[in-house]
Amino acid sequence: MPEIDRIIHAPARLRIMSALMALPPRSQLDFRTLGKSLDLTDGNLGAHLQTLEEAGYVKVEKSFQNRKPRTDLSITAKGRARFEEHVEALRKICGV
Amino acid sequence: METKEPAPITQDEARASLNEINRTIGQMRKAVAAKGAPLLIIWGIIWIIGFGCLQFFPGVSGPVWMVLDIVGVAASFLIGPWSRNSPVKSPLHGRMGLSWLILFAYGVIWLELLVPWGVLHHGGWAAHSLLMGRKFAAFSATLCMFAYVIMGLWLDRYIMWLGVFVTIATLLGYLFLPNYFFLWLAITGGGALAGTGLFVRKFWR
Repeated sequence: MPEIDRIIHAPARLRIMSALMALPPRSQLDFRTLGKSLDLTDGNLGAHLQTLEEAGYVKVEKSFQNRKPRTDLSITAKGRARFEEHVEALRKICGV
Repeated sequence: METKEPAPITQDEARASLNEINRTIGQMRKAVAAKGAPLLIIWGIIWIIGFGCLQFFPGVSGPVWMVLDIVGVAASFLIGPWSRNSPVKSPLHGRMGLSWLILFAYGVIWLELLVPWGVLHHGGWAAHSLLMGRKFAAFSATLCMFAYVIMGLWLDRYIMWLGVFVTIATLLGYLFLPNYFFLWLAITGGGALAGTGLFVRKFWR
């Protein structure tokens, strides 16, 4: 039976996970683009990403591009599965 | 010490969460599409200039198209979704870039078979044969749009519909407006590419 995931259910984290789910599988999204699209500050986004990373739902990769730091984010297989289960649980509550 | 159980999620809350998920997914797809809009605008302008030149100055259109193609390919490498600066990195993008190169090679092979290079090279093929010029243009335009349709099936449906629209417009112009075919392609094809790019850039940010 699908269960609500309390880590994902927090509003900002729900939006972060949804945004990453919008990309093709095995894709990575730039940290700045995500923050700008979701209208979240760097600090706020960073804190939520840390929670999601610790849960194993999101992978964070830091690198340098043209001598500037770049952070790429991707959703893990576990994160994808938990998100789908979470959505299923929400649908069940709604009776959809 | 007793740990507090989280309150159960109500139907309204669950519905609001589902709406938020759908809204965010749509918003993210549009934001990513908006990053690719400049490339559409550039190719739209290239079509407007190139086909406009074919209509009004056919004698010089060969070299003009060569320069425009170089500019377009360079821009595609620099700002396309497969470029290093793209906000989204996907294994799909590398394959997409490779598919465009293969399609380009395929187009060159077939054009060489249909219209030998010598005819293209000496004095402007469009000036020599208007019919051949129209066939050449219709083939090139629909080949590009075929790639848009396939790309749209994988990435975003708006690219697919753009490809379908320009393909239909190309065929209609070829069949019913032979004397103004290049101008028609500049307006409908170039206009659709640039117009879609401008729309996506302005409203899908």
